[in-house]
Amino acid sequence: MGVKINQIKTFKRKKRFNIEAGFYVGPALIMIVVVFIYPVIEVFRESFLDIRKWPGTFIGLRNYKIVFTDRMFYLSLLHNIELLLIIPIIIFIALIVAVIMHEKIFGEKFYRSVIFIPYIVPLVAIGIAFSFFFQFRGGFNQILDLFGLDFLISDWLGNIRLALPVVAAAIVWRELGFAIILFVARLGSVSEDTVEASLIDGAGWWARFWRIYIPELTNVIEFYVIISIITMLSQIFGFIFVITNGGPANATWVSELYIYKQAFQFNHMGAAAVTAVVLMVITITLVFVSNRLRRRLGEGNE
Amino acid sequence: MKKILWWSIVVLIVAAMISAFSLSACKAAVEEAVEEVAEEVEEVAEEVEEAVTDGIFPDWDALADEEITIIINEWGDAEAPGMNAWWEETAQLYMDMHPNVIVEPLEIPIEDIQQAWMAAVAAGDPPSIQLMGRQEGIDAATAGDILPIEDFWTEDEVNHILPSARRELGWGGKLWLVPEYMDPWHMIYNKKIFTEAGLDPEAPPETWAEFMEMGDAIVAAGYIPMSNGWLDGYMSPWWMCLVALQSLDDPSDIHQATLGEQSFADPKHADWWNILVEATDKGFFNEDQASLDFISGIDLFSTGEVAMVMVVQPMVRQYVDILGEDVVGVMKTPMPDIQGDLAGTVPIPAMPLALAANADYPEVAADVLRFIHTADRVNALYAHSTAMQANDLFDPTLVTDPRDQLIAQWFLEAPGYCYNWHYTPQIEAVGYTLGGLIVTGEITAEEAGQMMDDAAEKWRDDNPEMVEIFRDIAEEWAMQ
Repeated sequence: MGVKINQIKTFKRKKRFNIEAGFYVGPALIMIVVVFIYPVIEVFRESFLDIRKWPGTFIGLRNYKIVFTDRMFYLSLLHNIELLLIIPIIIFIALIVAVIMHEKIFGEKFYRSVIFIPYIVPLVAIGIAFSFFFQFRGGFNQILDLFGLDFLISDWLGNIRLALPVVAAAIVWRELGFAIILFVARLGSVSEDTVEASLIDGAGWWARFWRIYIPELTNVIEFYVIISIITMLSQIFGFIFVITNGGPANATWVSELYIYKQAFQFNHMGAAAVTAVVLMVITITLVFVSNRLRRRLGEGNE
Repeated sequence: MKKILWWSIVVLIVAAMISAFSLSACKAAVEEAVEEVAEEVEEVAEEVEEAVTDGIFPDWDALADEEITIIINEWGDAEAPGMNAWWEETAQLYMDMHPNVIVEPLEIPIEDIQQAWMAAVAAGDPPSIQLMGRQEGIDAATAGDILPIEDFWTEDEVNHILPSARRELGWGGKLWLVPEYMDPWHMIYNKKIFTEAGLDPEAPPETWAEFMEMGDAIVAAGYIPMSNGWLDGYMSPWWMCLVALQSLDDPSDIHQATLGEQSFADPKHADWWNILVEATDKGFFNEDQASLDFISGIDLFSTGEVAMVMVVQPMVRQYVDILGEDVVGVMKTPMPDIQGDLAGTVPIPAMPLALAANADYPEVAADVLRFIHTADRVNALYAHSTAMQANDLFDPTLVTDPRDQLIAQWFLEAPGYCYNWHYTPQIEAVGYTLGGLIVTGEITAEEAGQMMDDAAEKWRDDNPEMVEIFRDIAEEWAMQ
C-alpha cells in the first residue's frame, strides 16, 4: 500500500513536470507547426488542386502530369544541379583563406570584417551590381580591355552559355565570406600543441593543411555542404530574378523561378505547388544521402 | 362495433371534406401567391433592365455614413510619365465631391502588378480596381474575381469607348475592362542620324526591306540602326505586336493558331522572325542586345547613337526633351514581306482596368471609373502625360505636338490590335525567349514558330476547360 502511494506520488510529480515542460515548449512548438509544418502540408494539399478559382477543386495527379511533361521543369532542375557544382569550389577557396587567416597574417582582424561584408550586403544590391558589371558595356569588359585582354570580351549576360556562370560567380562572391568565417571559428579550437608538434616535425603548409586542419574541420565542412545544398536548390531566386530574370532565352531558369512563373505568370498554383513538393523531396534526399555518406566515411575511418 | 365503424366512416368523410376544402383553399392561395410572386419578379426584372440601361450609381444617401476606401492597383509612370500626377489630381477631385470616400491609387512595378493582384485575391482582400491585361482579365472573369463594367455603366457611357478598345476589352457580349489610357505602339527615329547618313530625314523606312537598305548607310555613318533588349524577354512580344501582327488579317489568326487550327510555324505567322536574323547578321542591332533588358535596350535611343527604336506614344516626350524637338520623328513600324489586312495599322491597346468582384462597394469603384472617363478627366490625362484616352470625349484640338497629331491620325485611320492579348500566358512565356534565341543564332525562324506551336499544344493539353472558354471568346470575336 505504501509502495503504491509512493508510485502514485511519483507519477503525479512526473505528470506535473511534463505538463510544466509542455508550457515551456508549447509556444515554440506551435510556432514550428504554424510556420514550418502547416505550410508544407498545405503545399502538398494544393498540389492536387486546380486553384484557378479559390479554394480550388481536386484534380488528382493532373498537376503532376503537367509539371513532369514540361521541358522547362527539367531545364530548371538541371540548372540547379549545375549550381551544386560550385559548392566544392566555395569550400576549397574558403578552406585555403581560412587557414591562411588562422595562421595569423598581418591585418587578420581587418580581413575577417571585410570578408564577411558580402554576406550581409542585401542580395538585390549584389544582383544589380553584378548585372551592371557583366553587361557588354560593363566594368568587367572594360577591365579586360584595359589589360589587353580584349579577346576575352564577351556579352556575358547575353550569352546562353556564360549567363549561368556569371550568376554562379555572384553566389560564390556572397557565400564565400560565410564559409570562411565558419571555418576560421572552428580552427580557433584546434590544439596549438598539435600544430607546433607538426612544425617541429618539419611539416610544410600543405601537409598541415591536409593532415591537421582538414580533419579538424570535417564536421563543419559536412554541415556547410548541407547548408549549401539547400541554398543552391531553394535560396537563389533573388540572384536569378535580379540579374537575369531567367534569361537570356531560359538559360538561367531555376526551380524557384519556375515556381514563381507558374504561380504568378500562368496562374497555375497547383503546378507551382507540385514543383515545391518535388524540390523539397530532392533536398531531403540529398541531405539524407550526404549524412549517410558522412557516417559511412566516419565508420570507415574508425 | 357497428357504432364505432359508423362513426369512423363519418369522421373519415368529414376529414376528407375538410381536407379537400383546405387543399382547394390552399391551391387558390398558392395560385394567388404564385401570381403575386410572378408579378414581383416581373417588376424586379423591369427594374434591373432599367438599371442596366440607366447604369448602377452609388446610393450616396444610403452611403452617407459609410467610410469607403477605393484602392486602385496601377503602374504609375512606368509607360507614361505624368500618370502619377493625373491619378493624384483625379483622386483628389473625386474625394472633394464625395468626402466619405478615400481614393487611393497604388503604384506597383510592372513586373509585380499581376502577382500583387493574385496574392490579394487569394487573401480575400483585393483592390477595388486592378490594372490587368486582356487575357488576365478573361482568366479573372472565369474565376469570378472581376465584374463587367457594362453592368454598372449606362449604354451611352460604354459607347463613348473607342470601338477597337470595346472589342478588345469585352467578351461574352459585354464590356468587362475599362481603359486607363491608350498605348499607340509605333517607332521613333533620329532625324539627325538620318541626315548624317545621307538619308531623307522625313522619309523613314516603310518596309523592313527599306530598313535593310538604309542600315548600311547608318552603320557607315557610325551609328546603330536600331536597338533592342532581349534579356528579360519583353522585347519579343513587342516585336510580335508591332511586326508579326502586320502579316495577319485579324487577331482571329492568332486565336486559331492557339487552338491548333492554324500553325504558328506557317509563313504568315513565322516569316517575320527572319527580320531579326538578317538584321543581326548585318550588324544593324546593338551588340549587347542579348544582355540588356528591354527598357535599357530602348533607352539607348536617348544616347543619340541609335537611329530607330520601338516605343509607345506616351514615351515619346521624354526623348524629345533629351534629344530636341527637331531630332525625334515618329514613324509607323515598317511592314514585313508578308502583309495581311493588318499591315500598316497601329496597335492601340488600351491599358485595361478591372473591377474587382469581391472588393467592398463595387458600385463606388465603378463610379470612380466612370469619373476618369468624363470629358474633363479624359482631356486632363493628355495634359499631364501626353497619353491619349480611348474615349471619343477626348478633344483632339488639345494635341498640338505634331508627332502626337500624326499618331492620332494613324490610329483613327487604321487602328490595330494588341497581338499578345490574343494568346495565352503560356504561349507568351515561350514567346519571351524566341527573340533572344534568334539573335544569338540558337534557333531559326521556322523553329521559333514550331516552339510556339508546341507551347500552344501543351496549353491545350494542360487546360482543357480554358480551351473551351477561349474557343467561345474566339468565335464571338470572329462574328463581330
